[in-house]
Amino acid sequence: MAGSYSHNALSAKARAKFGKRLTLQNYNELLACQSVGEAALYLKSRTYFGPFLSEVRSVDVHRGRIEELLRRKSFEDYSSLCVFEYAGREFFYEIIVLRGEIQQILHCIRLLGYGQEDEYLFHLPTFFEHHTDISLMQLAKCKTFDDILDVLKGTPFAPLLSPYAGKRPEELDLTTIETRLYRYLYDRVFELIERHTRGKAKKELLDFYYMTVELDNVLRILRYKNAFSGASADEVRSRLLPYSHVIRKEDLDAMIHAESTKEAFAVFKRTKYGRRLSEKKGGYLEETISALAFREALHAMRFSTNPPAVFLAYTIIAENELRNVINIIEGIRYQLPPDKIRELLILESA
Amino acid sequence: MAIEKMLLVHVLGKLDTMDAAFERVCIDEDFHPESTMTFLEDTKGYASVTQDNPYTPMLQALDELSKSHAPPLRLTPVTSPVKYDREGLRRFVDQVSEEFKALDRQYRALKEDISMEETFIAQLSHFTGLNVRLDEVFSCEFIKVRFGRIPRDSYPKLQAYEDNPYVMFFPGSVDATHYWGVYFCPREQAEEVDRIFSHLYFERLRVPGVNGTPEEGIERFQKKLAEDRKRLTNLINKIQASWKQEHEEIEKAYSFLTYLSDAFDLRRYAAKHGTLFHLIGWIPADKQDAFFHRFDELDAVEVVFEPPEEAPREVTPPIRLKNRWLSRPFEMFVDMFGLPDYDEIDPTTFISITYCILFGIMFADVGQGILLFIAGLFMYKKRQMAIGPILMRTSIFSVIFGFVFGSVFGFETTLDSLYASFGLSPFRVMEPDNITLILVASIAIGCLLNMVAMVLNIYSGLKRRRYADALFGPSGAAGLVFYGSLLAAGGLLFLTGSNLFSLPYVLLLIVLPLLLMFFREPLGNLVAGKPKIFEERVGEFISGNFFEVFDFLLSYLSNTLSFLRVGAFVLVHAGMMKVVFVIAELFSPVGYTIAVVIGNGIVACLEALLVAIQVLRLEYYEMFSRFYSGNGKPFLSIRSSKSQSQ
Repeated sequence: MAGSYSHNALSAKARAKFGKRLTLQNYNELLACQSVGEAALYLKSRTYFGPFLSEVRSVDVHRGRIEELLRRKSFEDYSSLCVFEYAGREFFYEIIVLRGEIQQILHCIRLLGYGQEDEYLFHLPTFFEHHTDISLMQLAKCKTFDDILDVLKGTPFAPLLSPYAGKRPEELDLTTIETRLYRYLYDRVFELIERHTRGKAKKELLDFYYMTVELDNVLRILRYKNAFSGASADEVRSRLLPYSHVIRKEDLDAMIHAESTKEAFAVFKRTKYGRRLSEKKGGYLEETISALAFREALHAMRFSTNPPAVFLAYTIIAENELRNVINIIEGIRYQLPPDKIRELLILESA
Repeated sequence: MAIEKMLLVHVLGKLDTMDAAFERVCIDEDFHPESTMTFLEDTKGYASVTQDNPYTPMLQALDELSKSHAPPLRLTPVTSPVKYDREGLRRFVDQVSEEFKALDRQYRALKEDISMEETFIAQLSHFTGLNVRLDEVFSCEFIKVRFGRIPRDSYPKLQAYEDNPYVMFFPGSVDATHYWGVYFCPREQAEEVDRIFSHLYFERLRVPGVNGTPEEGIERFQKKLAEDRKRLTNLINKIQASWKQEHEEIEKAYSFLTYLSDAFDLRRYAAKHGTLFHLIGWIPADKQDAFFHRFDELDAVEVVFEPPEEAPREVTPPIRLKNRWLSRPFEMFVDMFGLPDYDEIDPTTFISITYCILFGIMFADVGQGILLFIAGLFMYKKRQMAIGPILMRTSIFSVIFGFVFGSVFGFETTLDSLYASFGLSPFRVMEPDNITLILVASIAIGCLLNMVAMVLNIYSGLKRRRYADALFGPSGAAGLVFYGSLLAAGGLLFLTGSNLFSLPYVLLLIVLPLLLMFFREPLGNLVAGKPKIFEERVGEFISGNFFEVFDFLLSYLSNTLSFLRVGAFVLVHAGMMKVVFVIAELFSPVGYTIAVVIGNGIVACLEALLVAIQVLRLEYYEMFSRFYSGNGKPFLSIRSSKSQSQ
């Protein structure tokens, strides 16, 4: 499968798209923009986002609309690459759609929990409707959790969320729901990798996904330590995804049992991942840790000979770029100084 | 081939005459300034003279005007100190700047109005067909009305409000990205409904002062647009007429201001000592008298000339090449490599001859040579490209050698009857015997040119008193004897079988020159009368030079074999044209002609480019490297050095 001609075309296409990414100069110029509209016009006229922002005409454009257009561009990018998948859209396309569905379900549940269920309609990505079996418009009409379960009937998500049936929004534990759904996602990912790949390609993909999962677990631990300093070890452990690959059990336990975020981070720095952290001082912990996956992706993009790994690397890099741009736009909107916004960015030169 | 002779000039005088003196220095742009402070050996009591240039703001104002209007300003040279009213000059520049700025402001305002009107027309055109008066609609007291557009992504989301009677959107038209339409809501619900549509990224259309239906609004804007466009055209004509009228005066003022600015900028190079100023620079030697007499009116200014030999050693005269019309275009190639030192030979004539001959051999075709001449003429006359005159000269040699090889647009038999009339047989390039002959001839040309380069090096070295290099270097007399002897003996052995490699021949003409080259540095020191013959330890000297000998022996071989490309390109031309004819023969007579024409065009362009580059490579690497260093600094007047630094 990894040796098929279409898979090689996937590599070439992904690298071609990679070549058009934003440069450091683009980021500097974006940070110099004084308003959201100016940033949008800059993206339209000076970057490869131009065709996707063709409707942006003036400096009065809404920030949310720009984000929506950029997310649509991302999704269309991945879809166009999935065309090169062997034997149809089976592997990555399924993962992308599955991840999108989970993100929409969680978003809807989150808004329900805040009492803002009506807001989901405004955030609903219309472009995604054609790719999912879930009726997002029906999801937008839900007023209770049971309504959501009704909409999800017949999908794999219904049995995962059925234990929470009948609960009021304020009783829902969002982190455990998130853990359940992402566990399903990664179970499916590993199953697909097992079925469709072998040899070096399989190892590379597994390394990547395990890294993503393990770093996600580390971030969950750090967030929990930060937000709920009195939480018990079992509470923290129940929020983690049950996969391990590189981080040893002892190190994970040490992080879970750490008294503070700082202590947990110190344990992380001793792990194999942690030793790869850059020496850059300052910045936020989340960005520092997320940068690890980004740098691995950059390495794979440049040196890997396995098309699936190249595709995965591209998705990580593209998502990072999207996150950077959205952070910049939000930072400009809320008038943060450029230096502060820069700390939120994960850049190649960092 | 010549380097213009230079003289070092000292201009000294009282500080109050400095401006007048510098204005006379700047005439004709034939003065190359040097930094006086770095020039003088003892700068005690000297200070630099630096001030802000008062002419810069006026020049910038005129430059900005020039950028936005055609024709642009040209500089006319100032050849004599013109009595110009300085205050009048300043008033003129201010007045002209203000006049054109005002016109520019009107121009921008009109462009903005036109752009807005076009936008309003485009927006209102989405609502034609709505047979309602917009002013009446907007003046409703109990209903709020919003015209605008909603993204196509957001439009399906309105289905979620089908049960809400207050959320009603009526689309009028649709384009690639949006639905254009209108929504209504009761006054009490306006805030909530506006919020919903805002979240759906509805963009409101705000068109000021529209009375009547959208069609009437469009008509009114179109009328205004037509009027504004007419006004804009009139304004552009007015600006162009004003510019044309004032252009000559502005150009004169610009030229004189530039001249005054250059004169003022000479202060950067000058130094002052008490109440006196001192400026140093170079002028061409033949301008000495004219330069001297410029200061006749200034009693308090003195001008002293010195020959370059009396200048401090670390200061080298600047270089301005002076060649005849025939070889002048090739100064560009010399400039690219580097200008010669003042005491070095100017290689322009050498490169003009060798470049033309080599180019002619490698691009030998009568027809294509004529085409190349026409192309060069076009480049020179129409585009003022420096490569144009070079191509015109090289193409003549292409035509000459085209006659030698019998090629006319790739046809190798066209000139057979011409040869026959002279009793000659045609030369077929692709015949096996001729191929060998061409390649051997290329090597012979290479040997000859290498030896010519060595002779030039000997001449240049002796002239510059660099005896080590001239007499004992690998490109000097010893190298020439070594190389020539090897070639002569080897050539005779190859051609006639005679063996010249006797013991005396080998010892005197091969081994002895080799030893002289090995010991070139100490021998050169001996000839120059230096006290220390060996500048380093003998052991170090021998071990270092041992590998250097291998290096220059290898360079003899590589420099010679490099000329094989001359013969190779002769064969390449014949080969490529052969391919063109093979392809052309596949077609009908008409197709054949077209294929031959196109093929000739492609081959000519490709070959001309390749040959030009290859010959230049031979010139620089194989020939210049033997006799030329090219470390000279160019002659730059104050204006040239300013434009270079910009």
